[in-house]
Amino acid sequence: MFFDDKRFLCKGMIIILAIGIIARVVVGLLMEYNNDVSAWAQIMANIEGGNALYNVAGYYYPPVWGYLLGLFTEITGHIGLDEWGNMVTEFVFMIPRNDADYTTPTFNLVLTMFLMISDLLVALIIYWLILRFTDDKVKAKIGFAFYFVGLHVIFICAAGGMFDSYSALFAILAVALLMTRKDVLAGMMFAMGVLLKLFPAMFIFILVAYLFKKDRECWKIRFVKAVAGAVIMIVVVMLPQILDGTFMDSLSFITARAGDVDGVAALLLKYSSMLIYPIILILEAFIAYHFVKTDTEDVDRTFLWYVFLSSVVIFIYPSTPQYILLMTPFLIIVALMYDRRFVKPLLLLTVASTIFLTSSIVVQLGGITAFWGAIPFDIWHSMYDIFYAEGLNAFMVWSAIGGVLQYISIIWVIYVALEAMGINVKRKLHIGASKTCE
Amino acid sequence: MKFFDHLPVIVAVLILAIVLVGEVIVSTDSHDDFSSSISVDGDRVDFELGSRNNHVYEVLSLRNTLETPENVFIYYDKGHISAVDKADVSTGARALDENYYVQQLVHTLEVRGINTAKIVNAEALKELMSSDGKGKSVVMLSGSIPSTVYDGEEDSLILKWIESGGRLYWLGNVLGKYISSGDSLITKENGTTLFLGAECIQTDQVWGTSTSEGDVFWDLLYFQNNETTYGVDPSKLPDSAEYKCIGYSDGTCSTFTFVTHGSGMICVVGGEYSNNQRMDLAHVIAAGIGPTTVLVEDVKGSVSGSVKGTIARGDSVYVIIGGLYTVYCENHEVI
Repeated sequence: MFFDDKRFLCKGMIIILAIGIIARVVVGLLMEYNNDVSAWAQIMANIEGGNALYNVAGYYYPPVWGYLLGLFTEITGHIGLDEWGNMVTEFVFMIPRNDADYTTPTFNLVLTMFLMISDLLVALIIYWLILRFTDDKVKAKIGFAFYFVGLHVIFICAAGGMFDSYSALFAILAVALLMTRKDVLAGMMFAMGVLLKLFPAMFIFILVAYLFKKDRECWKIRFVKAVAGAVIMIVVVMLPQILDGTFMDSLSFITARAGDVDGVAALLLKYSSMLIYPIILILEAFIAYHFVKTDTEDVDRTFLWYVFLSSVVIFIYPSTPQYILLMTPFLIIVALMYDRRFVKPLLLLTVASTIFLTSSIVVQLGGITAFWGAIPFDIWHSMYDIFYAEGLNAFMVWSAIGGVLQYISIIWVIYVALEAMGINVKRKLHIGASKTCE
Repeated sequence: MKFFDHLPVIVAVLILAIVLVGEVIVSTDSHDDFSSSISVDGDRVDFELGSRNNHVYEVLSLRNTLETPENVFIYYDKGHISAVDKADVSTGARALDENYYVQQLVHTLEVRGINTAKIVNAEALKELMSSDGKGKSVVMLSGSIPSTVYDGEEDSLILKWIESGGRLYWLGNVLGKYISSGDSLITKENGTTLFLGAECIQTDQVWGTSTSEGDVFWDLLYFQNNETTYGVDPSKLPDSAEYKCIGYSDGTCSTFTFVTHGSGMICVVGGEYSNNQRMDLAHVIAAGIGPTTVLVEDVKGSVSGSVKGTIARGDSVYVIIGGLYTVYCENHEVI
């Protein structure tokens, strides 16, 4: 068989690694979502110019991604990457809908390789977790492959230039470290996840519930250790902002979202999220409570299932494709360890998120058009006109298809999860009731 | 296998180290990591640039520049109402209000080599404009002018100050139209004429899609803002006006218009508040671009460590390291 070899680096794994790397190289060179990637370059310039993360506008996330960009800045400086990007005059007409500054394909490739580190590490932890519970190397390697060559994982890394895989990494590490009783480190990873993009904060209930359920007698000591780790990490990460007076700027990811918005769509988004997120928090607490009350002989294995549920619940509020990466590792694990019925929605999710992400494909191909002339400007313009025509346009249709399919896959995952928990959804919803009567 | 037994710990320690190294880099990177110097050699200027990391650079030799001002003053007074529209805010971004813009501009000017920018309130502005304007620049992004220096008449302090050699960089609304007096905003019809000789400000929200005719600076200074709202329509300027348009153009107005006023100059910056506008403006101030500035020569290259070069002599040499994503600038006067 493909993976049937006791060594980790068997022939199959080498092929998977090669496919994952080559795919990222190709996509990374060809595609770039410049609205985000050029922002990373601007933040890097702010850092090198001596303005750290928040002295000059441009960086709006908590500090961890900025620190990773700090390291990336140093890497680019030492490998001879002297030109990061430029304004493309031919694309100036896109402003204000899209930005007209593009980073170079070489810059994008190096960034892709940097982001790939997190993809690789998440895939390794998936491998480790599946192996730990199943002792099945083939299954563990399939888990590795599902993530590392997952279409949406590749595109979010290489075409999107987004760092959400790091978010997934911190979350899955916190889970794995708690299981191995490395509570301080687990607390540190959890804190880093939260200070990267906040969403891993949703796992707080299930992580605390695990400590309580696993070690009823000494859970408080373990909890204090984990909190100590988190507090140390928060202080270490936030210290520069506390010292230079930009602490509140480092929280703008939260505060600005709750701030002023204009337009019906933005208002709808604001108020619907204000309504949904408290519901999600209640559901997270309920899942943790349910976990504590569940009878189980294997707490760790059950814990993984509930972590998965926690991750899915976050996405009952429709999200952009990159956020989905937070859920993906746990979905892969349950698909391979608990119920094969998750495989189909997982595959749909992979494709749907990729469709959703590539709805800006014309803009994403702007880099190779501008720097390589790979697409003649007039052809590129024609494509742009189709995608962003007045009224209903290709961009809207493409992103709507991707978004709807992505949400359908989430619903499908929830459906399978409920069925797997013995809840007959069809009966509850009276689907097929007439047939039963007959 | 032991490696895999401890995999989560190994990965956690690795990622911890990566983040902490990044944190140290972010906290220690500074303007001092770069340097530039020039020496005049006949009709040539030799330059030497230093950069710890690898970057593209650009050296511009310019003539008829306004010498780098000893002081740049940025007007901001929360006690005087401004007349600025709210800027669009990206998701997760802090709103770019007047106060934040002012802070941002100070930091951006530091990257451009101007470390002396001071924020002045309405009273301090009055004091400043009571003296000769030569060698001084005032940036006003309030959209309104405080009543301490402007009463809508020809003999207003601000107008006399510009005539004496002061430089006014204006953005945010129609120049000369609004006077702020505490909480009240007084509208002065035809106020622009006092400054520019005609009512020539465009108020429609427009974005330029081409570059200003004959301009080279849009490329050399890596301009990014192309919104021309509140820009100057040069066709309406008096025939006697000495002016220069640079940047992006909507076919009528440009993102930057420099108009000579007495011995001084007024620079009207197009567009509503944006980060791109701020970065462009900082370049223009630092490079000393004025109504008659011309490019003598530009030299491009790559620097890692240090690099030497030579360029034709002009009045000043403006150094940019990092290109569009500028990490360092310095303006050297050629004496």
